Amino acid sequence: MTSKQYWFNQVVGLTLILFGVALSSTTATGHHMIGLGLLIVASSHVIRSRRKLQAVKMNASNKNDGGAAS
Amino acid sequence: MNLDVGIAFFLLGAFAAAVRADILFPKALYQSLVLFLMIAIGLKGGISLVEHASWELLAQAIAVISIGFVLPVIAFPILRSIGELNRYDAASIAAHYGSVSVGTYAVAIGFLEASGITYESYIPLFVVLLEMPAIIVGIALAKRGAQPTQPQDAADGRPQSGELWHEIFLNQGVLLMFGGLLVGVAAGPKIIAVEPFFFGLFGGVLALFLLQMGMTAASQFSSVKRNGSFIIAFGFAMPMIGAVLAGIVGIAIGLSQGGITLLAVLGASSSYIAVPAAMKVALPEANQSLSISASLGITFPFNVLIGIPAISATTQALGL
Repeated sequence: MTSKQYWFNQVVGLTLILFGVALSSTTATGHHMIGLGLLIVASSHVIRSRRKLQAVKMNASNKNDGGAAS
Repeated sequence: MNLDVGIAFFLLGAFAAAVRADILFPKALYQSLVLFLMIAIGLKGGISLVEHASWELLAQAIAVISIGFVLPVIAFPILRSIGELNRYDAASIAAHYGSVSVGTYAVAIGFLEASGITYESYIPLFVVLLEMPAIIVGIALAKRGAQPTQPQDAADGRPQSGELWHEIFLNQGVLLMFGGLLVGVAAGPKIIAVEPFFFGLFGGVLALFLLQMGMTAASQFSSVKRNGSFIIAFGFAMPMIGAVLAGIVGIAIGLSQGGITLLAVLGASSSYIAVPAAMKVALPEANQSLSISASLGITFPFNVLIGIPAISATTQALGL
């Protein structure tokens, strides 16, 4: 994952969280459960993409360290 | 809870696929449901087209076609620069997201009718018009700057241009919906003979269609996950961009609240029937499964479950 993709994921994820909050607060249309579901999915998307970026960065720094040591 | 019937059937289908329930849904039945929905939508549009044919409608149609040209041009650089996809994959996906989904439109019609919101009934004309421009733009984007190739002919397995134009202008969606429009216009009041079948059964057929689509979307999801998080985020982002753009065009051309909602839904939707067939012919180099899985596994469920109610709520809240 590149840093551009990470920021794209974050922006989309946070927008979806806003959608989720808005939908979960409406009871009249019966979409509050879907809103809550969206909230959970979007939050996990944001957290997972953050973890993935950290993993990519860690891999890159390990490779650099390995290269420097050898 | 008062959940929309169509959405409930969609969730039921997704649940059935998730728990691997043994539901046999014949391919021929699915195809019949799609035919029914396309003809019913076309007929409805045809009846109202007789009443609304005017120069103003022509101006509206031109503005609507521009959405189909602009959306792929927005999607392509996102897919190329952020997604780092190759030119062919990016162009193919951009064409899918610039075109429209008749299924999503049918769900939106069902939603508006259940909510008692009126809309311009000639909008099926816009659905037909929006099917085509994105395919042309997608092909142009793929070919622009690509390595020049030998002249294409059928003998070496590459498509002839005649076959491509046939897919663009005479695909199932365009032909049946445009044909339905023409039948509606030509038959006028005599349409009453088929009204109980095409209009009376619309809700039930839509529910069955959504049951199948729920199963399809759930089965596509594992494929989407394999393609990485960018394509998932793109499948959520593009409908939001498309809805905003088409909503603005809807306001500019003076549509009613229901009309703006439908046009925004069309902008948000992505094709999964007409464009895949055209792209298979035009861009055989593109990875078709990538675009289909994003369109069916992410964007269609997103629009059905969240997009349509959210767009409708937004147009109501803005008092459009």
